[in-house]
Amino acid sequence: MNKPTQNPPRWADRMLEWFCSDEHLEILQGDLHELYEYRLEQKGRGMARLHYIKDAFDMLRPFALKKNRSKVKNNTLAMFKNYFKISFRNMLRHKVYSVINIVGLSLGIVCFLLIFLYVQDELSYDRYHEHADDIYRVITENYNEGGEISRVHTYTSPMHGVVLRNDYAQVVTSVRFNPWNFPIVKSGNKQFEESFFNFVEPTIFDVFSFEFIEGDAENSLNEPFSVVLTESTARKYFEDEVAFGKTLRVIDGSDEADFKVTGVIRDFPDQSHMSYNFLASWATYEKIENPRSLDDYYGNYNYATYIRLEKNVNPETLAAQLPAMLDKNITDINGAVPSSKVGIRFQKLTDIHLNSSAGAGGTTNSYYITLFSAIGVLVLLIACINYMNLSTAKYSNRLKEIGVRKVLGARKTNISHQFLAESLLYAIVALILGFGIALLVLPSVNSFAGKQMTLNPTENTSMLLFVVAVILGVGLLAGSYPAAFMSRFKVVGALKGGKADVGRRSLFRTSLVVFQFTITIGLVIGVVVVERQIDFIKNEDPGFDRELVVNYWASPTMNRSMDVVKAELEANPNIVSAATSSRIPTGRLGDALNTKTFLQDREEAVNFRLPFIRIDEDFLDVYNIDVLAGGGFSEALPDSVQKFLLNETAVKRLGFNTPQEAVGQRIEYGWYTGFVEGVVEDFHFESMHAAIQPMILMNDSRNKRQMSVKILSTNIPSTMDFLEDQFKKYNPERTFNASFVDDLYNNQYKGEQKLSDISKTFSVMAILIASLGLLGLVSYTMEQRAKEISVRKVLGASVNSILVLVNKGYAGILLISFIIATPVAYYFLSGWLDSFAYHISIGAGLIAFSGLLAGLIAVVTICAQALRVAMSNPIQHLRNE
Amino acid sequence: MKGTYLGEFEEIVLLTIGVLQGDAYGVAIKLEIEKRTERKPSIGALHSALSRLEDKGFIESREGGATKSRGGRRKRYYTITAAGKRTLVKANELRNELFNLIPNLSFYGLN
Repeated sequence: MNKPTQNPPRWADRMLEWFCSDEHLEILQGDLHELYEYRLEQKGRGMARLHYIKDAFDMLRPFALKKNRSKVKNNTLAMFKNYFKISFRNMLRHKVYSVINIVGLSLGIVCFLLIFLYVQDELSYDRYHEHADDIYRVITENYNEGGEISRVHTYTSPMHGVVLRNDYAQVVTSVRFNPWNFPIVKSGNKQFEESFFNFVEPTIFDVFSFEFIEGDAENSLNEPFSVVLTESTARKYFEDEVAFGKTLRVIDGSDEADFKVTGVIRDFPDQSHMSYNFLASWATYEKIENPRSLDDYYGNYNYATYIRLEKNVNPETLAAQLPAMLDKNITDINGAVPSSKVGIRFQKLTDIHLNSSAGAGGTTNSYYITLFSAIGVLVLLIACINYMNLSTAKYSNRLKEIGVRKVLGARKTNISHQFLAESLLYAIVALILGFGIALLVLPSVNSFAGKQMTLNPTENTSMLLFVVAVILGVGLLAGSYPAAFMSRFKVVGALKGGKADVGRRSLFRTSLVVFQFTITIGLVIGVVVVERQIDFIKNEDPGFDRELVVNYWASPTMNRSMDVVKAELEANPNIVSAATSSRIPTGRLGDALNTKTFLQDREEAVNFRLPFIRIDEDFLDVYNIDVLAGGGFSEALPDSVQKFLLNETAVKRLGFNTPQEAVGQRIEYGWYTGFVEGVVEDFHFESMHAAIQPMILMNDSRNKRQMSVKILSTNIPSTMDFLEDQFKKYNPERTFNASFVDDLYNNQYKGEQKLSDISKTFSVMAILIASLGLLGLVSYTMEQRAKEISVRKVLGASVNSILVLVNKGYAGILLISFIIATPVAYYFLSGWLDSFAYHISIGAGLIAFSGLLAGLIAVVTICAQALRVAMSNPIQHLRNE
Repeated sequence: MKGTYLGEFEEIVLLTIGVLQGDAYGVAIKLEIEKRTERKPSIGALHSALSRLEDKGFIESREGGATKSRGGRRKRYYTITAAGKRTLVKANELRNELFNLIPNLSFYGLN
C-alpha cells in the first residue's frame, strides 16, 4: 500500500490534469506514476519527486494539450438557425409574454428613436459653417453693485466688433448685424411687409459659410444700397427671373431707398439659430445712420456681433484681455470703474441654439436635451429589464429543453448563445415594429416640434448606424441576464423538471424590479411637479388684466394724432378703452437711465438698474393695474416737468418704508426731472422666470409704439374688423397684426409647455412600459401560484385576502423604490424649478401624492392579474395533477 | 499526415517497440531504450514521438493492463503496423546499401 507521503506531488498532478487532454491524461499520468514508483525504489523520494515535477512540465507538448473537443466543426450557423427557430416557436407558444415583451421593447425603441432624432437635430444647429468651431457670438453683461450679473445682452455696443478685429491678433475677423425692423419691400407690383432687413458687414462671408447662387462673396456687399437675398426671397420677388442686378424698393415710414440685388445665396438651413432673408450692405447703414451712434463702447446694444478666432485659440484668454479695453475706452459709468459695470464674453456658435438667451433667463434647451436623452435611455432600459424579468421568470418552461440540449452535448456557451440569439430576435422584431410606429407618428411629432426630422436611412446614415448599434445593444443587454441565468443549470436538475437549484427570487432580479419601480416613481413625481408648475405660472395672478386686451403696432402716423385715434376707438361701444405705451407686459424691460434721488434736497445717485416704460394716461386703466399711493397720469408732459410712477419693488429698493413716503419725492431720471406722482402695485411685466424688477413709468411726449385696446367679450370678430379698418386708415400699406395679450402671456411659457409636454409624453410611455412589465411578471407569478391560491380559497380565503397577500409581496419593493426615487427626483426637479423666479415648492404633500399615484398604478396592475386567478373557480387549477 | 519520413529517434522507438514484442508501453519503452543505448529520453519526448509515429500510421495502440503502481490507470500498448515494418525494412536496406558503397579505404585506420 502506498503511504500518502509516497505519492507524487499533488499540485504537479493537478497541473497535468488541467492542461492535458482527457484522451491522453490517463495514459500519461499512469506512466508518470509508474516511473515515480520506479525511481522511488532506485533513487529515493526526493529525486523521484523532482523527476516527477520535471516530467510533468515536460508533458507541455502540443500533442498532449487540451484542444477544442468538439469534433464536429462548422455547425455554429446551423445551431443559430435552430436557436432562431426554437425562439420563434416559443414566441408563438407563449403569446401573452411575447406580446408584452415585444410591445414593451417596441415602445421603448419608438421613444428612443424619436428622442434620438430630436436630440440629433438639436445638436446639429449651425454646424454647417466651415469654421463653426471657431465662431463665437459676442455677449455683453451688466453687473450690479454686488458684482453680480444683472443683465445679459446677446447684442453689443457698435464698437466692440471693430475693436475685436482691429486690435487682437487672435481674431480673424468679426461681423456686425443691425436689424431694420418691419420695413415694406417692393418690386414692381409685388409688395410685402418683411420682419427683418439686416445691415451686415461684408466680413460676414469670412465668418460664416454661405453658398452663392448668383453673385459672389467678394463683391456683393461693398457698395452702399446693395443687398444679398436668400434663394426663396429672390423667388418671392422675382419668381424665375434672375435677381442679380434688379432693384428692390424698401420703405420704412417716410424713409425710402432703392437697393440693388448683388447676390443670391442658398436659404439658411433649418438648423440655424439665425435666419435672415435680406443682407444689406453696411455701407448703406453708415450712410443713413448718425455716425455718432456708431462710436459707443457702452450701451446702444443694438448690434449682433460674431467673431471668428484663429484655430485653437481659447476664447477665455481673449475675454480676459477685454476689461482693460473697456476701461480704456468707456469714459464714465456713474463714476464707477467701467469694467465693474459691463463685461464681454463669448458664446460658441454651436452652443447658441441650445442656450439662445446666453444665461439671461428661462430654461435652456440644453437642459431639456439632457433630460430627453436621460428619459430615452431610461425607457429603453426599462424595456430591457422587462425582457430580463419575464424571460427569467418563465425559466421553468425551458428547463427541460436546456437539459436535453446539455445531454446532447451543448456547453454553457452554447446555451448562452441560444438565449442571446433569442433576445436578439425579440429586439429585431421590436425594431421593425418600433420603426413602423415611429414612421407613423413622425409627421405629427414634426409638426408639434416644428422640425423636419427624417427616418430615411439614406439621408440620415448616422441614425441608421446608431439604430443597428442600439438593437445589438438591446439584444445583448436584455439577453445577457437570461443567458447567464439559464446556462447555469445543472443537467440533472434541469431534467428533473423541478425548481432546479436556482433560488426562486434572486437578489439580482429583485433589484431589477426595484430599479424599474424607482424610475417609474421618479417619473411620476416629475410629471406631477412639472404639471403643477406650468399650471401655477399660467394661473398665477400676474398683477394685471390680460383678458380681452388686443395689442398691435401704433405707427408714427397714428402717434401724430393719437387723441383722434383714441376718440375714434372709444366711439365703438364694444371698446372699453385704449392706451399706448413703449412696451407692454409679457414683453421684456428695456434700457435704464441714470437715476438720482433728492431726499431732503440731498442728491444721491441710484446704484441699481431702474428700467423705464413710457405709458399714457389710459395704460393703468386698460391693464387694471392698482395704484397704491398718489395718483395716475393725466396728460403727456414735456421732459422737464415729468411725473413718475414707481412700482413697489422700486420703492423698496430706493429705501422708502411705505409707498406714501415716496409720493412727491424729487427724481432726476436721465434727462428727465420731476416728482413721484404715485406708486403702483407690483405686476409681472416680464415672465415668471425673472423676479419682478424695479420699474419707473412716465408719460413723456415721445412716440409710444404699442397700442393696447380693452374690448368687450361681445361680438369680438366685428370689433377686430373695426380695429383693422381703423389701422388701415392710417397705414394703408401695412398689414394689421394684432394679438391678444393673454396669448402673448401664454407664449412666454410656450417653450416650457412644449418641452414639458414632450417629456410628459415620454414619461407616460416609460410608466406604461414598466406597468406592462409588471403585468407580465404578476401574471406569470399568478400562474405559478394558481394552485396555492386555489387551495387557500378552498380552505376559505376570501378574494380580498388573496389580493392583499399578492400585493404584500410587492409592497416592500414599492417602498424601497419610493425611498430611493424621492430624493433623486427632488434633486433634479428643484434644479428645474429654480429656473423660475416664482415656483411651487415640492412639499411632502406633493411627494406623498405622487407616491400614492405610483402605488396606485402598481396596485391596479397587480390586482388586474391577481383578480383573474382569485375570482376563478379553484377546481380549474386543482383538477389536473 | 505529415509525410512518412522516419526520424532517427523515431526509428529507435519503433525498433524498441519491435524488440519488446507486444509488451511495449511508455515506461517499458523508455527503460528499454535507456538499457540498450546511452541516451535517456524523457517520458514527454517519448510520448511525443509515439504520438507522431501513430499519426504516421507506423504503430497502433490498444489500452489495458492497469496496475497498482499506476494508481489503477491503464497502459497504452503499441505494436508495429505493416506500414511500420515496411518502413523499418526499407530504412535498414537503405542504410546497408549506402554502407556497402563506402570504399574500404575510408575505414583504413579505424580497425
